[in-house]
Amino acid sequence: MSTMTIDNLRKSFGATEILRGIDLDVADGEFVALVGPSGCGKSTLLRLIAGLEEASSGSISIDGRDVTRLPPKGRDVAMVFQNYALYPHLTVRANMGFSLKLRGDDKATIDSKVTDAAAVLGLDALLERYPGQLSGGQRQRVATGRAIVRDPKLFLFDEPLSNLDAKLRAQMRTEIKALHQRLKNTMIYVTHDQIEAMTLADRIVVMQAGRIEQQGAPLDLYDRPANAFVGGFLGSPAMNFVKGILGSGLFLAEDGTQLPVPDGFDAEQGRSVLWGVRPEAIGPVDQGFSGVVEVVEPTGPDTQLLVRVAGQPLVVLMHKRMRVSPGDQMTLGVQGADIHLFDAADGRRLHL
Amino acid sequence: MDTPFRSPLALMLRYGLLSILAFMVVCPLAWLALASLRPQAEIFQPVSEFGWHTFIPSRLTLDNYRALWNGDFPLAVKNSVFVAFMTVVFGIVVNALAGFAFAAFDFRGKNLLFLLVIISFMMPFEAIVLPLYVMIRAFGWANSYQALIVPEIANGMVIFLFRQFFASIPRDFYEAARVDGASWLYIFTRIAMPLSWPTIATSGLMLFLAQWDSFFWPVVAASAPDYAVVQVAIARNINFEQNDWGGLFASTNIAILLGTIPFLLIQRFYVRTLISGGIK
Repeated sequence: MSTMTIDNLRKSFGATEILRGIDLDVADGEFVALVGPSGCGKSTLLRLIAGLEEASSGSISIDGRDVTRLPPKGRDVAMVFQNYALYPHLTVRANMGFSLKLRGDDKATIDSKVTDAAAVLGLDALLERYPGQLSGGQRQRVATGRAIVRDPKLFLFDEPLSNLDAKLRAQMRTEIKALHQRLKNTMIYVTHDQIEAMTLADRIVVMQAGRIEQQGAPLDLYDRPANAFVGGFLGSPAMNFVKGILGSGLFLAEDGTQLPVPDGFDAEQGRSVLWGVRPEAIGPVDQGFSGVVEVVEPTGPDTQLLVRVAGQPLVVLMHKRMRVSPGDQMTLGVQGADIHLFDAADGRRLHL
Repeated sequence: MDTPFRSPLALMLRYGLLSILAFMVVCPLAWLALASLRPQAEIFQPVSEFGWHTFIPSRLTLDNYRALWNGDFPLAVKNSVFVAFMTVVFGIVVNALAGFAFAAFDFRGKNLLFLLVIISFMMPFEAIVLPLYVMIRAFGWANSYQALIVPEIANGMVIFLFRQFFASIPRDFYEAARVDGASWLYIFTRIAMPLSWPTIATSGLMLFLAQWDSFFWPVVAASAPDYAVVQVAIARNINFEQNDWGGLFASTNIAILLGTIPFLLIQRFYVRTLISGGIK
């Protein structure tokens, strides 16, 4: 059980600054997901925590102990790699017991710990096999098992599910969540898949270009993104954005279409803003703004529409079946509370 | 099997041609093997009157081998085996460590150093014989096993092979082991080396053959009879006055046969690869 504190952490490779001052506190037992587009520095941050890269400046403490300059083995962290990195010449049992053997545990201890972890992960029958004889999901479990047996202070996951197919990924996601609820270890999980982050994490840390854009509980971030980047990054299908300026109690799109603003919103008129709304917040109403249906995509439970509004396509997601066809005229509306306004220049959220 | 139809004529032509080629390669070796089993006097006799006697000896004898066995050839074989074995053992350790350093670490001057390694195996050995000999003399190693073994241990080609192989192992293996608490030496011995059997086999074979076939350097550095290696001993059978052809052929045969054994032992590693499986 342990906490972690990162203070003004920076990392450069040559002249390229990858991390530009990261501050992060992770509480005991917390599941933190680091998300962001590729190249945002989330994997580098994880590797710095693991000790696989050296920080340029700043500090990392685990349980109050400064580990910034310690090698990986001095940090008591376990890491699950994206491609699992199971040693191909060792059996599942030897792979899982590898770190314990290195630590000098006796054979009986190693055996019992490996057997326990194997039972938790349903690997009992596979212990004598070699990695080459396992399926993708089984390899993923062994990689997780290798981390579990150590009972480390910190679990680090580097996109552990991205090599699995969609169905298996969903299943393993649930398994990892169940595992965390059971072990209650502190876990840090890097992913570019925002669904994984939303479903697994107690807290999401959204990164971009080496900085933390926003952090908080998944639904808080989803409902109140601090800027247009976070709003656009979380959620699938992504948030719709329309460029325009503020009018008196309304928003004017570039082509002059009038769209509503959040209830009670009052700001200087003429300011350039981004009007954002999530696909599921838009729906057909009697009085609102009009659009022309361009694409209809029924997925079974939902219907996803592409509707041209204010000269640009908006994604509309409805949790029901719709009888519409391309070319149909629709009147759409959105609740004031579901509208997000961001500054057009720096993307900052303009209201609470 | 769904092999496409081939005309019998084309097949005949193909196998006929291949047979001729095979015959051309095997013939001298077969003749050598048979000649070594003939009495001295008969070796060249059938050549002048070409016929089936050219290939089939009238009488088989082991006299030539017996004479070899009683001479100093067994010592030469022993010397060669010892020198080659030591070179393989030390050579694999040293070159694999060097290759691992080039593959796994970043250090100042790494590229320059690696360039020198590559240049070293492009440099003809003859070009460095004199300085090397001067050095060996200065160490007081002339006419010793060290003189035969030590200069052959570090091998640019083998370092290159190991570096290429270790660089092809995903870094995640090394990093996973580091997070698990392994030292670099542990990673080298327990992760990198066990994965590199094919490279070890190839390198070992290269080091072995280089020593088994080496002639020039042993003549220069250790020409005393006590340290004569196989190739040197074979060459001793040739002189201007009188040639012991039977002894020459018999010793050549033994050199070839012994030199083939390591290859036969490890050839299965050539096609084997252990890398698969650990990574997705």
